[in-house]
Amino acid sequence: MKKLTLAWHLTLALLYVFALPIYAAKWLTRAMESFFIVSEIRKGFIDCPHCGFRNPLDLLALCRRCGMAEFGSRLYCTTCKQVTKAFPCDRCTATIRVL
Amino acid sequence: MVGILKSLVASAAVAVGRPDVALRLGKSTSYARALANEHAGMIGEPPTPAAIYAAAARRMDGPQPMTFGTLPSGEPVRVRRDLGLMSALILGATGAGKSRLLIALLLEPLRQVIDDLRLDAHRHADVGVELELIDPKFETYDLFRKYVAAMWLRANDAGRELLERSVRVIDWSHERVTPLTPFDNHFTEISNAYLAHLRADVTARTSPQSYTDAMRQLLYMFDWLLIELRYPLSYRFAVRFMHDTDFRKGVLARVPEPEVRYYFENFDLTVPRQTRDGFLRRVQYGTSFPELRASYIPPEAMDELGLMKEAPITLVNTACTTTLPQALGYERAAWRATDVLCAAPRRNPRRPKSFVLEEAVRFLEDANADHVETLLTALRTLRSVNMGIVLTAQDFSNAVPANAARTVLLNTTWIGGFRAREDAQIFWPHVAAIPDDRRTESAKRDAYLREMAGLARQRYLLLVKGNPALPLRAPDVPRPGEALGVSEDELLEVFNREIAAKSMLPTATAMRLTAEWEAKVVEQGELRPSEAKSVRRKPPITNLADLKRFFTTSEEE
Repeated sequence: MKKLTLAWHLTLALLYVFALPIYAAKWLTRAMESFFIVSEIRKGFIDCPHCGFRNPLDLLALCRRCGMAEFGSRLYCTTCKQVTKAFPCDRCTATIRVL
Repeated sequence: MVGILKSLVASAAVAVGRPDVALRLGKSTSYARALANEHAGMIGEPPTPAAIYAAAARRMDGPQPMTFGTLPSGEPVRVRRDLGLMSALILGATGAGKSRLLIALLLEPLRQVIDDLRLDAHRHADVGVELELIDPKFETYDLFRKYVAAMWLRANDAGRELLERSVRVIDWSHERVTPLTPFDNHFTEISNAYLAHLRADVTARTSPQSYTDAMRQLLYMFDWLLIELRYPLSYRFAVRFMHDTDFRKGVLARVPEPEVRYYFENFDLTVPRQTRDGFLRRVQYGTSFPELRASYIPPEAMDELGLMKEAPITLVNTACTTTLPQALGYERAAWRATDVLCAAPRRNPRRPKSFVLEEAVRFLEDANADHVETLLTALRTLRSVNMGIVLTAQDFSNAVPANAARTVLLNTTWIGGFRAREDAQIFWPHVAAIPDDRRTESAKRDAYLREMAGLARQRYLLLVKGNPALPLRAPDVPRPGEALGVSEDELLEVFNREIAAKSMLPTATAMRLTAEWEAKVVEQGELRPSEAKSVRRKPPITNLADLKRFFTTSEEE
């Protein structure tokens, strides 16, 4: 019984070792993606992929959830903490996904 | 340092699925930027036209760009290929530069491939873009073939080989013709009946003669018969088929379609003699011109000739005004356009295709015609198979029926407007306003229309949907062969010898093939003598009078 348990733990450890590079690659990809997203947000504007219009991210934003209007990012409401992952382009109304 | 740290923390927060933390970190920056943005929006200077044009030009740029011209500032306007090859409309008066712009745009992808092959002859050679040019006025076709010939002269062996197998010509002249098999159904999804309807509808609508209902029906059924039998259009065949009952029976015995058989078996009863004669007169008119008669090759002979049947680039010259009746050229343009558009939904969408129809006004005049409906449907739907339709026209706003014009305007992605007054109205809502212009709206509009009516050659407005209209100067297109120091006659000789010869054959050869077919099918009835005798049943001999008649007729024979 002990041998069986030991073999089970060893197999599990081996699986973790095999899975390690996959998880590492996954985390690296996610980290890269996050870096690009943050750099886009820091630029302060996003070009619409459909019509090319330059949409400002920071403006007099209106929260769709609580209705609060405030100067700041259109992606985040400081009152209700709502995070907006996408918004419609100001010109062509195509949905622009940011987060 | 703080900025980098903030950035790293924000990235980590987004990575672990807490973007709110990242956004909260940039809260103060967002606040300041939002205030600045709103302030600029409220009291900022309105953008100048130059700034608007430059911003629009930046938005249109992208991978594999096509040069559409230069802005007044001298900045070139390049439009990404996927946008540039979408459906378009080019408007303007004669001599304003429509054809030159078209040539500049269409030749660019081909030139790039040939230049790449000059640098590396071993790379995979493919034209990358498919093109179909139907020109009912000869000018664009003529220029295009000369440029292709000049390109062939400049190319290395790999480039020449690519051009020879990529360019197909459809043309009819005294010396050589492209064989045509309009009554050979090579479509998989289109029935023989519908193809016959398409052919008959085009013939009846483009013909200078009028067609009565009965004659139209006869035309449709006769086209269907030719398609069932894979026969070419031949006046001799038509005459014998309509006048010789035995011959007709023999022909109908080989028609698999019962509807066609039934119609022609009762032909003498259902079709008045005048209709038949009128129909034959029309067939005779359509096949009386030797260049056109020679082009109706029997499909079997076409299979044996080994000529190029399809190619990525097809140049179709249907200009007949100076050598042949215009109606016949228009008929063939409509047949070809219908064929290409009907085959388009099953094309490979990975390679973009541009279908160019010159002088589209004549084509769109009859809004009820089936080929017009096919074109308008194609404008709406073929974007899904990566195919764009480019129409050039003059006096578009006045000459095209309103519903067809509306469909074209709605379904084209970009519009080019050269010198024209009426067509200039299309662009007016998209013209960028000058900020300090204090004239009234109507005064501005009048001035704009006057300017468009007197626009210099090569100048045009480019309206890409979603952008302001850009005033451009079309790219310079030097005379073909100028850089090589070759005359235009030499270019034509090169084109005919190296490229057109792959898809055309001498008119005399085509006439011989047609004559052979007529001798075999029409004169001999395509029935062996023994079979012919067996068809004619003799009455049984039951008395002496029958026996006497039997010997008398045998002697006469």
